Amino acid sequence: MSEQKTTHFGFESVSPDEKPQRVNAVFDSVAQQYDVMNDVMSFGIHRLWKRFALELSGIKSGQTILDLASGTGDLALRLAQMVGPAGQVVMSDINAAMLTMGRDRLLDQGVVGNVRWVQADAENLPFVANCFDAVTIAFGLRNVTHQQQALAEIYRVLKPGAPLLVLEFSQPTLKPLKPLYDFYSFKILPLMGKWIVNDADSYRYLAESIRMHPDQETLKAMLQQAGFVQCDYYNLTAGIVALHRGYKI
Amino acid sequence: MIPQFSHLASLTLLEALLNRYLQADIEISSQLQSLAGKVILFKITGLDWHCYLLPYGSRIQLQGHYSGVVHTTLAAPPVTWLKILSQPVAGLDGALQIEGEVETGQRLQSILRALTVDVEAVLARVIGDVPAHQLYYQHQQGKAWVQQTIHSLELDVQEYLQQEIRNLPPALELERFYRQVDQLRDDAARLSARLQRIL
Repeated sequence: MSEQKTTHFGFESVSPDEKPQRVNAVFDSVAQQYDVMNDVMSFGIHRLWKRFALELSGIKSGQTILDLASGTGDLALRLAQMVGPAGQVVMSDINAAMLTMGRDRLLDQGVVGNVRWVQADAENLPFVANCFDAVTIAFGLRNVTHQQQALAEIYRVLKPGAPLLVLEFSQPTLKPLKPLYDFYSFKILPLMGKWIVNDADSYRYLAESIRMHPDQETLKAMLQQAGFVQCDYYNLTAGIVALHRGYKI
Repeated sequence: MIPQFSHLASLTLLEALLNRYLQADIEISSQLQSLAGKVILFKITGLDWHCYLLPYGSRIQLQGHYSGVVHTTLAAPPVTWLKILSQPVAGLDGALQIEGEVETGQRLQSILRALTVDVEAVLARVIGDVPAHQLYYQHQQGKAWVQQTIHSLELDVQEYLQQEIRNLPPALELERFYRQVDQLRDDAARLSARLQRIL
């Protein structure tokens, strides 16, 4: 297999070694105000997208779940309640600042005992094979440099029959929505970033990285290529976000 | 089944309100912890609406779908739920159907009974002590006036119907009538028994 020479960081082409550092810098910058920005940018709808993903997850009490790109722990908080005291949730993120925010948030809310924290790269997961009952990754896959490698790693750590749920920005399915969506992404988002976290560049990257992320069908094909079966996806809010689901055999 | 966004939105709102309500009562958190790991299914019969309640720590989580084991199912018509929510002291109503672990249902009942929220303290956190006190005082005054007005209206209507136009009998007269009916029923039963013995 030939080594990939460049990858994308938003609309820029960068070397694969440089991308993780620059993504890290983005999340170091926005970590403190991440939740506020999420609510403002999505008008609070991100809560419904995440809820939708968990409703379809089939996760139950006593299971062991890996939440990748866990960030400030929106999904992990709910997962911890779903698996209960008999289960376990592993919160994982490559970025220490985000993981610390998530850990503090869960501790402050009294969610302890069934949550573990691991700073890890999704492309090289530090877990044995066949050990998780489900893996979730919400709004994180597009920041991974080698996405196919990450999917292969997720496949490795999942137990046979276990699902992967990928919640990620995607391509709007309503064509008339596109100009409005582009205007909002490229003009309004950076402005919001500047006003709220004094960082327009990070939110410009966010908009650009969404455009560079594989569309619904491409990501489904990537899941299938990694070995997942019964792959499907659900378009949410006219395809602005899509939930992909696949099972390990 | 694909979850509906409207259902998810209503659950999100309800969950946020309930958590705020529960966290306003400092004693409730320790009681909620005894329900950790339990899954309680709430059903509103007649409306085909349900949700799963997952307590954890001092919080609760509401879900529209849950694949695992449900420990207790509570089902009741909308009126009964409204009664329970508006008068938690009354506890679980007789019209409420409980399936599964009765103990979990009883624990929930004791939590509902113990639920008392210091509304003034909650308000004070948002708008400050003095405005919260004045607002709460006005609210209490208003509530007392409404209750007094409703009570007076009830008495006036009762007096009009019973004393002035004499369409309804007074309560005492009705009670005497019911006693006489009961006595007549007993006498008839006794007579019937005697006749059967003679014949």
